[in-house]
Amino acid sequence: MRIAPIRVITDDDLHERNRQFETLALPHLDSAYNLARWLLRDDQAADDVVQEAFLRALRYFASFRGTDVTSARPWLLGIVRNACYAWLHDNRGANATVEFDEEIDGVDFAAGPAADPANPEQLLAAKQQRRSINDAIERLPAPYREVLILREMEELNYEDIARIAGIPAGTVMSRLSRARAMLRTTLAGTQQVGR
Amino acid sequence: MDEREQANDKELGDLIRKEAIRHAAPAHLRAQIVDALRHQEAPRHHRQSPRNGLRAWWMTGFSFACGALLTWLALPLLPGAGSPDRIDSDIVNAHVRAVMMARAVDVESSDQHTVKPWLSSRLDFSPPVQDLAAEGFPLAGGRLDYVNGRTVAVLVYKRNKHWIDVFVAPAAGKPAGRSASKAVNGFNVIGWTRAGLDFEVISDVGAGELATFADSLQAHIAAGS
Repeated sequence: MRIAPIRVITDDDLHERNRQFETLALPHLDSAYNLARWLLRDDQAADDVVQEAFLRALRYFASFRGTDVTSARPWLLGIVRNACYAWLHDNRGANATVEFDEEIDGVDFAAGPAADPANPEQLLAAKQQRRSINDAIERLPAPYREVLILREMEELNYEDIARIAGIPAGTVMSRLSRARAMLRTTLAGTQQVGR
Repeated sequence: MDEREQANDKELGDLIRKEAIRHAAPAHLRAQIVDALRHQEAPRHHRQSPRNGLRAWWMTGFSFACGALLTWLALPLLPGAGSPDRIDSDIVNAHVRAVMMARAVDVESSDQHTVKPWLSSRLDFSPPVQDLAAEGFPLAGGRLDYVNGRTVAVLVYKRNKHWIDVFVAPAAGKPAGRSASKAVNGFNVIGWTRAGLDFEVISDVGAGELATFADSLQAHIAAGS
């Protein structure tokens, strides 16, 4: 630990700092939003929390040790993740049980390249598969959901996930395999129901 | 992990990437964030000629210097906020409250790599966190508290059935060094300053035991930084 020498901060410094922050942080906005949206399961909450987390990240920007866009990603996602948990803590029970809304969430599922549009049966099956997968992920407990999202959707490595979630890399691996197992069980269940 | 398992995991991963929604940030959120980031610096952006700007800086600096000098001269006269006694009683109160309310930790973990980022992400400084389980003082977790008008980090350790709280806050110009152990309302308190941070250790364990704890914590922090 070392105390930085005292230096007068000028307007130019602040401007430069904000510009640098924008360059490093904004490319990760989609990742940040995706993580927050999956953790909070609510559009409006994800909006608020991500915006707050970005402003918080700017305040802590001095503590960021990296220099490039890649290393900014786990740092920023860690701040977003903590902001999400703080929100969940403050709003306990608010969205504890978000039911799957067919009207709203079902719309996205229709737009997929997988199914042949000429075959309504195939289209329906594809739609159902999509729905059951999203539904199953949404129902995972948050600690399992977050490692799954970070690994499978954001494709981060174990060390980065460990840093973001504040857990050892070994725990990341065990949570990930537990998350996959839970997901498989749920999906197997829905498939049988569907048939 | 065998090959079949690996293949299964890969298959599931592909399925997730293909079917699960990757929520993209809405355009209005991006605009709001960019706006907020630029807005943050806006109040400081008055157009000034370089000469006036320089003069304004000098004036501001001079006023601050005068203010700081007056405060520094007047501070020892004021027994209120910021005085050592007041800080001690703040710390004792916070410690008693935390133990009584069974809210000793906000983040419960014996893993320093969990506690440290948890605290750092909520504070404007980063406290050093060390597990002292080998010395018989396992790390129980950390919490935030409010002492002497600012949010501080509290590292929580256990000694058998006793709690040991370590309050950490940026040291406002205090010289480095360790203060003698003292007793406040039956609790033992040891404080020291190191590398710009002020540490205050409080517990109901014996003064000798607390000194041992403070020694090993100081040694670990010195070795870890």
